[in-house]
Amino acid sequence: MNTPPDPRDRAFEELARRARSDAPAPIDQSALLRAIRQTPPARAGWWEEFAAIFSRPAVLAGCTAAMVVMLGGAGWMAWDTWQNVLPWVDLINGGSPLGGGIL
Amino acid sequence: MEQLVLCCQPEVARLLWRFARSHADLEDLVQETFLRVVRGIHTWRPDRPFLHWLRRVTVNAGRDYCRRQAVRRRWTAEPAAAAAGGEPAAPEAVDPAPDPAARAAADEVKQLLATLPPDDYALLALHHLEGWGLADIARNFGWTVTATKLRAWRARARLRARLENPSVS
Repeated sequence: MNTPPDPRDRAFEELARRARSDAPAPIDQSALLRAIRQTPPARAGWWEEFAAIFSRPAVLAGCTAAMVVMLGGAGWMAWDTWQNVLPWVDLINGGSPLGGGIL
Repeated sequence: MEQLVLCCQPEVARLLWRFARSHADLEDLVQETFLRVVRGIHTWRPDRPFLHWLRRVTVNAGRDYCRRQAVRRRWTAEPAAAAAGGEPAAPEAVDPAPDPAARAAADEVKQLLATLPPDDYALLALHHLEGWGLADIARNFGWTVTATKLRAWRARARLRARLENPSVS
């Protein structure tokens, strides 16, 4: 069973109902417009611009794919370089270079 | 921007009038709101309705005003008046009202709500004077609907206590 409404609530609601139709006097529009004209337009900071560019899902997916491709390429290049350098490392350390056929 | 101001200004002024205690305060509040709009227009996302964003900026300006008023009341002469059993200061209604009965009722409501904490003032004013639903208020204030219902219930309980004993602040 619902709690019966409190008479103090009813009194306040009746007062609020009467107050709803109260309207303010018109405000000084020329002063308002003058203040707005004097305010320099806001420029977004770099962080807002960055966040706005990267907030779209397509951009995020594109960046992730590009990052994966770049990491893959960089990993392959590092592996290739290591394979080229490895015989010389072996030679410097006294091992047999190029598969050990000389000694 | 000026067209936008001229178009939206009556709606903004009407909403802020629920918070302002005088016409001078209302003019300041409307100006503050539109300056916030000009400075923060880059935070509005074009895929969202502009009026909802404007309403949120307006309500935030109104809530900030309520907080400032509460601090001012705490640190100025009102505690002495309350201790002496006096009524809190009435809103300064010096401008002519088109409907004096409605203005008197609105002043009485504002005076009553001004004894509550600022967020309670904003919540009850928007709910009872503007007819906003609790879900709308929750969305504008960044609260959950459940929290808003609970706050509304507590605010009404405080209001009942004030109605029973107006000298309690």
